[in-house]
Amino acid sequence: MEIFLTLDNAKLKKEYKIVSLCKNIDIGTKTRLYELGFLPNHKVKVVSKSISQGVLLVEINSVALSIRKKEASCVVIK
Amino acid sequence: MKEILFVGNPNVGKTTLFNTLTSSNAKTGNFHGVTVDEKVKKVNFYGKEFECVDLPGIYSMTPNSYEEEVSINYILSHKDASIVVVSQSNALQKNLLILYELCELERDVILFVNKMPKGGVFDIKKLENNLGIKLIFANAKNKNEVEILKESIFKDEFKSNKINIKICPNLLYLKNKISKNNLSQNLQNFFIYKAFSGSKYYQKKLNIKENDFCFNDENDNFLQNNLLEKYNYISSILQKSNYVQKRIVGQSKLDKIFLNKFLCLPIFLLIMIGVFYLTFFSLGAFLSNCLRFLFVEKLGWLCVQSLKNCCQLTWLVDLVDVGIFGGVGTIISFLPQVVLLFLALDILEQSGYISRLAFMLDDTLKKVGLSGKSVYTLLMGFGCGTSACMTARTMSDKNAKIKTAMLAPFMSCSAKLPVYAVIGGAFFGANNIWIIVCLYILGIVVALLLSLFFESTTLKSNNQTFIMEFPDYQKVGIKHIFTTILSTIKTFLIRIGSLLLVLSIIVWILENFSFDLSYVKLSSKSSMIETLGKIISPIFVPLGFSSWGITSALLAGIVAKEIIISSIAIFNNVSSNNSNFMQSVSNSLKLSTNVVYFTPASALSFMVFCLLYTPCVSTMAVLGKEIGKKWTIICILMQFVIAYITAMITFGLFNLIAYLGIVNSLFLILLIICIVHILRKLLNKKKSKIVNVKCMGCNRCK
Repeated sequence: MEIFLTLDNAKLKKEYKIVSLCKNIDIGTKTRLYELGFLPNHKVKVVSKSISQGVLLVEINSVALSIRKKEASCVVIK
Repeated sequence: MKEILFVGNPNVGKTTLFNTLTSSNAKTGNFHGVTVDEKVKKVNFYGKEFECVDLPGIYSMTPNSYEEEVSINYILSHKDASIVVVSQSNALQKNLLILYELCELERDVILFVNKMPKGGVFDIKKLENNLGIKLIFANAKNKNEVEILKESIFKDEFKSNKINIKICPNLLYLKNKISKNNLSQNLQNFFIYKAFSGSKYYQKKLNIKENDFCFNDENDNFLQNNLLEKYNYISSILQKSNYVQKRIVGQSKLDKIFLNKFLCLPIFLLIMIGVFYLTFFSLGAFLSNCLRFLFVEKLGWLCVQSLKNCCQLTWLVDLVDVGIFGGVGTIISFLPQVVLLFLALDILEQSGYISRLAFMLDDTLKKVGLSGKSVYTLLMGFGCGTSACMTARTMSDKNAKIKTAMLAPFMSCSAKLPVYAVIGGAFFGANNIWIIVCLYILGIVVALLLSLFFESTTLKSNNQTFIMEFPDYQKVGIKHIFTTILSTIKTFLIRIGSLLLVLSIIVWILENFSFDLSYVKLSSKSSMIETLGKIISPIFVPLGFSSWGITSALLAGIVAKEIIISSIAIFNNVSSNNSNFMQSVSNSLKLSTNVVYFTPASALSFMVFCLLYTPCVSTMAVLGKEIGKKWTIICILMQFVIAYITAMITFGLFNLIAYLGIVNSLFLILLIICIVHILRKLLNKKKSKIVNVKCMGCNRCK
């Protein structure tokens, strides 16, 4: 059985596949996330976290980018 | 004249290419959002004139911040312009999304792939054929390699590879609403698709409201599938062209140190202290002394002596001696220090360190209603407040943009540097470095407290995100260092030769002539500035500086902060003929017989006031443009009030410590804090009792 979780709960340096983006996120941010490659079946990996762990450094489409925990909690992964 | 637009993702090298192609010197950086405005330059390629336009970076044709809106507005309003899409060889998949959307818009394009070290590899011919447009693979920094692009622009090899846009059947009814617009079928579909994607920009353009959409799961899937389709299309093309991405962009072993929880902040503090030490002391001080010796003490002396020999007009000799060499000389001697400060900030920016700092500080800044992106604006504020205010455009939230722009002037800009160096140096000697560090920290603390105040009152950030790409670390080349030094020197000298020279002369005239235009040194009348200064000076008595000279210098400082110190030199009549010019300026500040004099307490209070008070005219103008008149006026008044109160507290505290000693003063302050705390608690208890009296007995509280 596959376990679904959100990106903010992902283990460090473990690769996951994106399932979808949640609905409780504003459409502008959603579009920006889609544009950056947060699309179904794309691979994502959390590489590092900020001092109080409120920002994640993720690796997607071979590009490193920072994303806040709030936005990461809208990315469903498996 | 044909227009050529440079479009692409942020931080792919658009400005670098623009600079190489047009021999310009536009500011480049290794950070998201260095270019926030369009830069236009007319060029001549093989006898034909073109207008090249460098635009801020965008990911797609959907704006998500104010600087992205600048780009998209420009692209949409200049329909006949051809476009050079700039991308990086190591992130082609993400970079090509904008190319896809420009093809949907039926625009003529050329793809320029910037050759990066250890970048991706691909078959150029195959990729060119698969995309159906001209492709140039070259290093944006290399003039010879960029020559191919010049030829292609000249030969007009721009091509349009039209991609038809399908829109969701549910949205077809919207077409009737916008049929009045003179848009082609494809463009209508593009605009509807974008408006439907949630872009308020396109919704506004098409005069349709969010309520016009029936947003359901089907539409959401369409949006997702549409972008997935674009990504898959790009992936398939890249696959057919044997594209291999060699490494992850923005990842480096150095991040183990710079992104370490325990090391990141000490490293940042060490870097900043190192920068200040290099700027204000060691190298900066040495170069500054050399320049002062050459410009003021040698050149000034030579000019004044020659003038004395051939001219009998005392006022003219005095103007050249005190007004020009004395006034401007004090500012010009700080040129090396300003250059070093700008260079240090530029190296931080170019190296890619600022993105890491933004990442680590986002948590803290989020609590006061800012975002990691504000780090860039605040750091740029150490250089120049005017350009720093403009970088606030990278914010996606309007309130965060207003807040960030308003906070930038609180950062101690390079123009305030002479004030700290001269006044602090005169009263605090070698300890001045710690005073300067404390002043910089005070600026940051006041800015953060103010942001917290706005966040909890009128300017709450609603939709602030922090999605930012990490750039690769970059070595800062010698050529770049020289270019930065030269451009800073050029800007500084132009400013001195124009605005500051004129202002110094005006200040000298106001100080030496009375309202009936008689020369005050030959009569017993008061000068114009003395008369005006005496009216305002009582306001500053609580701050410890009530002399008309100081208030007049502060007034002149509203035009440009550098003028404060040159005005002081003029008011104290410091001649360039002194063997040690700067020592004479410093000594003049301690003599109570002079127009401008300080005690250590009033000197510190004055430095604090200069740090925080009303920004210069050019910053005010940019603020007005960026955040509107209302917020600019609020910002100006607020800065004055904050500066006044903080300087008054500083003056009071300094006097208290001097009178009671450090231990006793601390004890007294602690005692006051305790009393205030107890009083607050007592008041809160009283309030809660009042609430109990009004209780209607619903028992909810139980």
